[in-house]
Amino acid sequence: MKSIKITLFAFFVAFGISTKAQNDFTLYQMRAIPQVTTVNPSAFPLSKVNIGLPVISGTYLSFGNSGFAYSDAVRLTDDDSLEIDLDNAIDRMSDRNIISSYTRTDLFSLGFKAANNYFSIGITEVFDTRFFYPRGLFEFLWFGNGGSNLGQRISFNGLGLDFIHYRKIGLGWARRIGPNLTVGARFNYLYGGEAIYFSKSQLGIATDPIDYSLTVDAGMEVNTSGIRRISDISSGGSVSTDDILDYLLRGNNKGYSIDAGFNYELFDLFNISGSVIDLGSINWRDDLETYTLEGGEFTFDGVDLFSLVDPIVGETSASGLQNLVDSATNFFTDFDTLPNKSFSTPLSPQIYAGVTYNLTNRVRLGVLSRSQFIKGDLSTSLSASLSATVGNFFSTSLNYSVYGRSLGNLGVGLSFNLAPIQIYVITDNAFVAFQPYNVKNTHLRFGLNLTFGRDYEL
Amino acid sequence: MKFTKTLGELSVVFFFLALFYNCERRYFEFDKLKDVTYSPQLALPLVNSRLGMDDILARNQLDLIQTDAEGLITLVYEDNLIEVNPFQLLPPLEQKMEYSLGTGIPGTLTFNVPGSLNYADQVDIDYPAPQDQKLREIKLKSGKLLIELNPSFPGITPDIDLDFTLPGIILADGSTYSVSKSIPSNSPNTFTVDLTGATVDFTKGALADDRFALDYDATINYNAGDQLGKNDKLDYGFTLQDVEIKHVIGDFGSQQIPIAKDSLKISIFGQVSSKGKVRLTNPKLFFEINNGIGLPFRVLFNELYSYNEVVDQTYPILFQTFPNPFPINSPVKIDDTVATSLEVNKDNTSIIEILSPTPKYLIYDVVGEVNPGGGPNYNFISDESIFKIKARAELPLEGFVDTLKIQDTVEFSLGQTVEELESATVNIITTNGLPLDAKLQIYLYDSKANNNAGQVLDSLITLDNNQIFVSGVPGANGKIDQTTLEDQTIQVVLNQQTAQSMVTSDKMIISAQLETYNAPNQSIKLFNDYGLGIKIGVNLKGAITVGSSDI
Repeated sequence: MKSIKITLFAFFVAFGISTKAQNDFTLYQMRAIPQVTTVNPSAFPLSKVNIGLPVISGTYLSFGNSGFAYSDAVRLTDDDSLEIDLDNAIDRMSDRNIISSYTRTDLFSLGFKAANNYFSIGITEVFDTRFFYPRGLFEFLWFGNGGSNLGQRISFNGLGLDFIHYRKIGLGWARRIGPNLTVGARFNYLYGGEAIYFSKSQLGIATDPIDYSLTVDAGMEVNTSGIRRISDISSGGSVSTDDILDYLLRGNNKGYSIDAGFNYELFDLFNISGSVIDLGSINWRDDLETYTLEGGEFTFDGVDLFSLVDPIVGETSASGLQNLVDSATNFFTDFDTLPNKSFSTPLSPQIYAGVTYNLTNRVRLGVLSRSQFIKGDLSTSLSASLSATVGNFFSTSLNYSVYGRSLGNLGVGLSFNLAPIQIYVITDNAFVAFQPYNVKNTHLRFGLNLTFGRDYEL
Repeated sequence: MKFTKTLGELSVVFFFLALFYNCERRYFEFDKLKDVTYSPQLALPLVNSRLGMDDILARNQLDLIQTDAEGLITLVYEDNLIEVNPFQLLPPLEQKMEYSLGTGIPGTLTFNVPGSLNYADQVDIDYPAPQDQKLREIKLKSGKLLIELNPSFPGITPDIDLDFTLPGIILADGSTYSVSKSIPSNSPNTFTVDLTGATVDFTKGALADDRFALDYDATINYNAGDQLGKNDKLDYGFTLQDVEIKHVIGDFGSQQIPIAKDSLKISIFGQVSSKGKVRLTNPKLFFEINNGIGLPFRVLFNELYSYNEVVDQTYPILFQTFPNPFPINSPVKIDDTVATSLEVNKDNTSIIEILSPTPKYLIYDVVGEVNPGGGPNYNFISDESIFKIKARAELPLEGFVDTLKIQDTVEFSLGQTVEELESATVNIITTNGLPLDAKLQIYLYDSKANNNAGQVLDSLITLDNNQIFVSGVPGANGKIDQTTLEDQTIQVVLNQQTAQSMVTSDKMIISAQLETYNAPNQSIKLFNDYGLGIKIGVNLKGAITVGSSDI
């Protein structure tokens, strides 16, 4: 029983902690941390030379659910009891919701200033996973297809799982143009590892309000790359050195992306900035397998009794029912497998736009908006921040942000320097530590850099 | 300094925020989790069937249903073929025919020297036919003639030399039967004659009936001292045995033979109660007779009536213009067969009236009468003289049904509680291409209630919503256009109380009331393109409580 409760807890936490991932409100305001160039390539870090040590220089973790928080589904009642309230949780969902997990590890980074320029290079391993679930799925499971759902198409459109694993090798260049303007860009070469991509996901069920006949419409296309290879290995297949080299260096899953940004100083009090990140895609050509389910409809409108029972002689036969079962089974399992269909997965572009106001040369207030496109959906979030530095060894940023239809997100970023060694910890939602039941997002970035020539005064 | 102040202010703000958002552990005290009520509504289609008359016809393995050129459906009920053995009309053939030859002397004659006496003559041997029957000829496929010679000459010592001929016995080779033999004078002598293919002529050369001639020549030998008495004699006996007849010619008299006493089961009325009225406007009852007996013949219905076993009532037919008895055709040549059809219909009988009470059986007792007008009538019966009769009822489905109630009781057991079912809505959608209105009611019945007296607990359908079929409207041609039918929906709502009654009940009483279009003022016909569609869907509303201890 305890394990079931733990499972229940895990379920609601898993579904209840959310973000659409890759928020970097806090980092964006912390120029003391060299990784700031990953969210705005025009940003000049507050140190002249920055080295990111392999693996430990930067780790980014985020996990979340855009649908609802734990406390939306499990509520405290006036009599000090707990109550599962899935009605409320479903109310909180949007039509399409995402459970996302984003992991990013800096394998190596190097950046340095040269006159009015800042050059950087970085290699990063990225795992990006998104499970899309429609609100209709929960409505169907909780409310059923009867009642108010009669005559409506309950949509499961978009149900699916996107997963990509790739390596990003970026080359960035930021340059001051005149006294107030800084622009920057980074060109990224993307080297794909594995991918699962639901390029088409149409699924719905409609119930006739009179005779309750069920009509299911479906159309699917799932592209994969490298999954078969993993499957072979996990089932005991042998792996040669050549295979490893092929995987690490000689693959054909290639892509490119561009990041670009600007900073503009106004009256020495304001800073206006903006950036576009992850504008690109990966073309997948290795170890391909595509599964398609032709679009169509299947209607079940009841069993023909006379196919089961002869009305004249009264004999029964199961063949009519078997035919029906076969038809339904074929409809849902008749996937075509295409072995060599290449495909492309777009990254999820993000646009940052912000303004800061310098209270002092070490403290500034800021507002920042962030928009992200995920499979055609645009989500926008906002934050207000207060950032500060102390000496050349400490910087911090606090922000309050609204994103993922979650109102209360407190971001905290801290960086310390012991000589050139910089340790930093950043989160966009510190409340996860205090109120895991209320948050929909969790996010953590930490690492260790070597920074030289620091000057934390703005 | 300024920065320190700012940092301090931020710390205060952060502190209060942290207090405000302090962690609430109660969210994870699962032992305080309340029961969860899960109330999904599941709507499912159950049945989608169309029963077309064409489907029924396609599955008609019993030859129960026929259609005419217009597609009018006729139910056909046939009885088994009945064969009548015509030889039962014959008199008994294996009878003994006798003749006794006497000496003709008044006293006793003693012979002193050896010698012989000869007796020769032609005499008649008579067949003992029943009154009003006469035999003229028997053609045998096989058989034998037992000849018994019984001499009684106690005073005579030598054998008797005997020659005799039977001109009426014509053997298979065309010869007449004759024999010569010596027989002991005082002991019986028996022998048989093979009559395979023989003909026995009882006309004695077209001079008589039931009679054939015996030409005999008997020589009585004697020794000296032998005596011949006035009572001495030679008895002849002739008996046909083991005969298989090819044909018989004669006058068989006026006779009555049973043909068929049987019943036709009319299953269409199987579950119909006595209430209501069914009127088939063109029923017919056919008797098909094949007759190979060369006799004047007629069929007599001793009985023809219907029987409704529900009310244990019989309904005898009135023969109006139908001739009862009914003459049937007879062949004029041996080995011919002629057919006769008898049709009992609405025009010659009251058959409509005897079928209106929805009988389950049609019962008939038919006998045959031969030579009904008396004799003499010389006819034949042969081994090819088949007499077969087959009864068939044809019920064209035209007429009307007026307030006919059908009721059936079926065993029913839900077997478990239905607490987790808050309600159920059953939609029944019909598309009726038949000219038939139907109302349906289903009662939940507890046979053990009231000390086993039984009680209806509930009904499933409200009275204002029980018309499951609404009749189609026939057009000017009398047919319903099957392409313009409209759906009819009735809704059955089962609440908790009804559900509880379903648990308690052990029987369901299904009651339907049928009525054809505009009955009884208008007759309708059922055609083979008519059909009936029915869909049933159910919307279940659950009320499933999951206790926290179950989680």
